[in-house]
Amino acid sequence: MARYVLARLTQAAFVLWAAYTVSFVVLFALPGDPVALMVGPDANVTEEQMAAIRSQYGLDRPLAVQYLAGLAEATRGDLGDSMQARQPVTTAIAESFGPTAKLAGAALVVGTAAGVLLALLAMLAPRPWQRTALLTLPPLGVAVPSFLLGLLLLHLLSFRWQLFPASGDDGWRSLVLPALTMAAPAAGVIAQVLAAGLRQAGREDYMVTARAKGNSRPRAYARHALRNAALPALTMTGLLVGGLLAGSVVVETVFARPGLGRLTTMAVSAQDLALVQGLVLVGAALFVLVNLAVDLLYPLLDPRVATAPRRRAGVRQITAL
Amino acid sequence: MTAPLLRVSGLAVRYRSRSGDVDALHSAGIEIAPGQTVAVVGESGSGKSTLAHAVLGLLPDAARIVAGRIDFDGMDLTRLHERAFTTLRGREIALVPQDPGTGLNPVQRIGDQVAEVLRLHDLAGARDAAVRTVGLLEEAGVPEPALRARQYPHELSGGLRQRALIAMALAGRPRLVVADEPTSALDVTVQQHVLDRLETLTRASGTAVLLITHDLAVAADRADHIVVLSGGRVVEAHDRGEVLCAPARRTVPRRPPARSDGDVHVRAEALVKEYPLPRGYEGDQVLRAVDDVTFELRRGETFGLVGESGSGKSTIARILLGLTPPTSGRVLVDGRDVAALSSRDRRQLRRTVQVVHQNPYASLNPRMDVARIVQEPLASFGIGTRAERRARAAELLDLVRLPAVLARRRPHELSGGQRQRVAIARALALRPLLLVCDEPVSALDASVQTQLVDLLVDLQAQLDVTYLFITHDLALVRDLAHRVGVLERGRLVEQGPVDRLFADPGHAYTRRLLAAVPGSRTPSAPTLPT
Repeated sequence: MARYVLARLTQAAFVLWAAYTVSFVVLFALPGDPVALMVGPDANVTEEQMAAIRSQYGLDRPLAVQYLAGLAEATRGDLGDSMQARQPVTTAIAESFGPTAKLAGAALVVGTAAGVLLALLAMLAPRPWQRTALLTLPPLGVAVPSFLLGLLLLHLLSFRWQLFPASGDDGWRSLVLPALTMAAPAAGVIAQVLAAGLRQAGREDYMVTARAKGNSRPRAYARHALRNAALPALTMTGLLVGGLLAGSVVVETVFARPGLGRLTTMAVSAQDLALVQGLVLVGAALFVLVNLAVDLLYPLLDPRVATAPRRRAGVRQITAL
Repeated sequence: MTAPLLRVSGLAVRYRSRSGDVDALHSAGIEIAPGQTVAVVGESGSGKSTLAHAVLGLLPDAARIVAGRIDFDGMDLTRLHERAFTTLRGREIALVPQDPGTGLNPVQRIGDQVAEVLRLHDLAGARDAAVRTVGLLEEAGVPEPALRARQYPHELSGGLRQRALIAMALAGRPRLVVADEPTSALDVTVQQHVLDRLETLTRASGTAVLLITHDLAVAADRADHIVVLSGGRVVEAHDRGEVLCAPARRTVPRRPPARSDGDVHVRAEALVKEYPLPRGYEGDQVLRAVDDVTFELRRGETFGLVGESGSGKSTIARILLGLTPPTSGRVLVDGRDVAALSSRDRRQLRRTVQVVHQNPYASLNPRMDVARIVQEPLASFGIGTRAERRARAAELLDLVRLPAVLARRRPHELSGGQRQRVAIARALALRPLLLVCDEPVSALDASVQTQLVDLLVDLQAQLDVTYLFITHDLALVRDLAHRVGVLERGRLVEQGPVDRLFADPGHAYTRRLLAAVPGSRTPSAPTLPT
């Protein structure tokens, strides 16, 4: 087990390094002058001032030195200074992290709960047409773009009925609309994958055994099929976290909330390269962490994952004796 | 006869499918008295599983009971409300399912799955249930029950899993157990133990058993009364000891033309195959799957390799096919060491050695039609033009006696026997000298088995091909092999001509295998080996 975790951590470190390197190549090493981009084409800045800025941010050093020095600083947790905000990148990100974490967390919880519920209902509804009707909902949740859903929710729940505030970040009431907007596609994906898993599990022999023991149909699904069907849905949930971060760009703009999405929009439009790179790294780190957590959850759900990492079929028979 | 516990009368079950309605049962009837064992025998498609599921009220959604009654203890189960049925299942009527590999929930501990029966029917509290589960497992013949209760299904062998399923079925002390092919996935000796245990337990508790099986010999051994189903109707019913007049397998074995004159074609010399065991496993660090095995295959003969699962027969097949290198020892083909061949020679050699796999459902690509499946080996060796390959495919289908119209079908449209014929046609496409048949018929019904064995014998006479026939079924070997080798835990404990081996088995293990063949209990049973 320890070895497994260590291997996964090494892999995670590699992913982070790759994210750093790729973003460095794209942002700094490709032709183009970051300082010129920063000051803009119309600014009245002399060559000397440009050079001063370059040396201030260390951009006058050779590329290899910039890369290695930046990497060394990044491993120490220093992602450089934001050119626009005139503060360390880590500080800027830390300030925006909280609101987005709250939003994405709420969306993930609501989306997962709704997805699981929808999938179970779609399996257990008494009449076939009810099941079919319920199963059309997940693709709908995925297909409707979140800006459209966001505007729709704004229009109905905020402007027309005035139930929730349309923008800002004060208290849970302002969280409801953006969280629902982000949760809808997540719920759709989870319901889709889980329903497919449940349908598959429902055909397995152990479900007949479970029914023959005296489990009612809903109970057999909840107690036996759900856990077997959960693995693909769990994998999906891990991947969704990346999607939620990307989605926060749109949702935070629509609802005018502070957060990583807004910060990203700002950093990109202001050509704040250090901040963009910092955001890429934080996104990669989150993604890696969540998927590591998902991988560590696997063996808890399915014992076959833990005890048989790469065992050959022939040997497995022997341990079974 | 006492009042029956279960009486099925005039039962008709209809399946709705896209291609129209199918009647799985027409007016089927059986009676089981308390404590009695009644066997329902039939081939696949005879409706025996439908009958079992109807009694449990677990017919699939597409199936409907269109006529008849199922009376159990004064209730008509066909009219019973689902909620009432739920309290009956596991408590009054229990199931021992067919396949121990898939009948248990893979992500739940064995003990929890057994205890669930007690908890569902309020027969025990949480702590008490755990204690009683260990007792139930012990009764069912599970060694070290406390340890096993904490393990997961994949950590247990098939025989142990089936015992756990029996413990589960008997946990609620039901009055009727429906055993749906309880042992057909198990080796003969394990099958015997499991059936013995089921019989002992149900006799002791006075539990009636509805035993569903395709094996007439098993039914003759175990049941007080036998009902034969065919095409959804009861065609025969017998009490114990009566001579059965519809043998599932022919009584006189067909003998292949005797031959022992061929040159040595393949020689396996002191083959050893070891697999490393996972770390933390006590004892030896390696598993000897094949242990010093030497045998010869003569040109045009059939060598039967017999053994139970885990005996190493499939590993030997993989070594001969060149899919796994042996740890030591060598394989000589026509006197040449296969390991010393150049890669080009080895590829040529591969053309001459082909395989027919056990499972005709898994070994054919479901997306290809039959003609393409059969042509595939030709295409991958670049033999012939497209038209020539098509002609050869037609010829091959004819050779295995499949109608030409099947060429355009896909595997899922074929029966198990037809699929296996396709697999044989594919294996013969490259005109091989050696055909390795790895349990080629064990997934099929008895009468289909017989037809395929006949086909293989005829093909051998026609094409002069050598067979290595791997099976756990001794009766089959008698029908087609010239010589037999018996494997026990990787060792070839005995080999010789088939007649001598059956008449005078020299090794204790061979005798045990022969004794465990179903049908050996009742002298009148049709598959009795001499």
